[in-house]
Amino acid sequence: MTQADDRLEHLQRLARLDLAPEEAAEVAADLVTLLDYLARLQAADVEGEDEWRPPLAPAAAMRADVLAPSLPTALALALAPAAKDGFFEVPRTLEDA
Amino acid sequence: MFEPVIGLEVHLALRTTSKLFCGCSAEGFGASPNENVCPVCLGLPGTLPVVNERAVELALRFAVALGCEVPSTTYFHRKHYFYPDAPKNYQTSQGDVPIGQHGRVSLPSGKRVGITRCHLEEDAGRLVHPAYADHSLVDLNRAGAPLVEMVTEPDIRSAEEAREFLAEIRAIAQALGVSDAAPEEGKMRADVNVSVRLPGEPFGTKVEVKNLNSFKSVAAALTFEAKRQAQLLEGGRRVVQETRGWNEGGQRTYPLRSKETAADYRYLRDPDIPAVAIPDERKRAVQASMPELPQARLGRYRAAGVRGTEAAQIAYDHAVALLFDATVAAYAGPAQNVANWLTGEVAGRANALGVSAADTKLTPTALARLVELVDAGSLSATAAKDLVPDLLQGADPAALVASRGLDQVSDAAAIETLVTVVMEANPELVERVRANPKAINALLGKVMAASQGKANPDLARRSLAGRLALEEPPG
Repeated sequence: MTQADDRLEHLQRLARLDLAPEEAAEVAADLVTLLDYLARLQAADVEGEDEWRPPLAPAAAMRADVLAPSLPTALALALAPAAKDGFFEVPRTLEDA
Repeated sequence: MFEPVIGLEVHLALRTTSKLFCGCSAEGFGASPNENVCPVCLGLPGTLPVVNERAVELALRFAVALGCEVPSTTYFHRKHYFYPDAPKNYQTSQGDVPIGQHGRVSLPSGKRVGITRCHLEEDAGRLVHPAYADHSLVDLNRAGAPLVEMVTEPDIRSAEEAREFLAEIRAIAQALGVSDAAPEEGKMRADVNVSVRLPGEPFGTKVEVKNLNSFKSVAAALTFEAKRQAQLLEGGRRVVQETRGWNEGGQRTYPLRSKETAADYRYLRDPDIPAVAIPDERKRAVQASMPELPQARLGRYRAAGVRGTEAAQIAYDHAVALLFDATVAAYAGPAQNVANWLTGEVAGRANALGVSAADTKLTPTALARLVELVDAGSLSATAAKDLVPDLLQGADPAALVASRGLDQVSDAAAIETLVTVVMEANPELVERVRANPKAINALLGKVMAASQGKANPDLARRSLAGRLALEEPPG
């Protein structure tokens, strides 16, 4: 197994993806292109440049601690692939004892 | 003999009305599933989080109380992981510049525990796993609710110290108004890091046990884990660095499959959330408005003559301490008397109802009057105890005494009359007590019954002893 395969397997697990072999081959190729590009970015000379920081919030950029209307539950759930009894339904995730 | 080396991570739900970045209610307890969700906390595209200024204020207060250094600017980070309880696929947290770092907490035992950091972050949703189903259910009411997380240095050496530390943190958070810190409502949760070593040796390999929901579970998980690790090492085996869960039913830890490391979380400064400035004058204002913290309160109670056990019990329960202070202010007598009633009969009756005394309708004035009636000898302790349940319902003790005719009889002549009547009616019992003075309680019981419980028992005992010519009223 190559280093790229290892990396892909690790990323699949983190992203909870289960790619078919032909999909994996395609993604692996994309990943190489992406990482090559990132390597070029990392090689750029940034000596003396400040690290990016988010702008400072003016006081008005914060909210007072007050309630605003929430979405009706039915509308929130309508966005999901599956719902049940007011909950979003997802594939089972329990890590058993 | 191996000793455990323990660090704690404590999450406290901040006492805000709304969530950290949106106006949905932060109080998920008791709501229907997915009742408090909106496009921001669901992480829908095109939404923009806006920081809740109250949450920043509360976290700042907490950081200052823990003696942390507070930066002049603090930042929010994205911590990426994929799990259905995190609808944005990342948790908004704080990374390299949290709101507080390098603090310390001193415990009543004298133990000092270093605070590595404390930071603001959002809570995740709740997962439900129906039995035998192929699916899990997600409730996002808590998703986006504000938490403060604090992490300690590995300074703790026993389950008992961990418990003491958690009690201190809970009391501090309650005194500050930062959090209800109620583990039973999920408002205080702990993860523990534990390793074992021979004293003086370097730290061993650590194991993290996640999601402990009570002080009891923390202590039990620490005890179990330290023993498990010691047994591995004694058997010549190694401890594996891993994350474990806690099985409450089996009282044991078990390995979790999650294997994320810090790098996998891809922390990055959140480009959607501006940095938050904390000017020096704001820090000074927070410092200046610090309320009395539990240890100072404990010191004040001890100085007022309250015994250690009762003083600690009251000082470390913020709501009860407020009730105690108000009662003592309304009461003419030693504070210890109020402490006895508050931690004794009142706490017992409230516990039986499943609540704290502070959550009942008991008023400080009512409790002060009750204790004064007993002090004055106009109400027997027994009769007073019988009134406590009514006091918890908001009743006034003086009114109860009047309506139930409970005034204690302390009139010597009236008691003499009662004693005469009882002795004449029970000649055999009188003979028995003459032969065996220890049997006086049987006779005393008759006197009390004849008075319908209203006779002052000390006076009645003295009167009986005098009439029977016993040397000393037996204790």
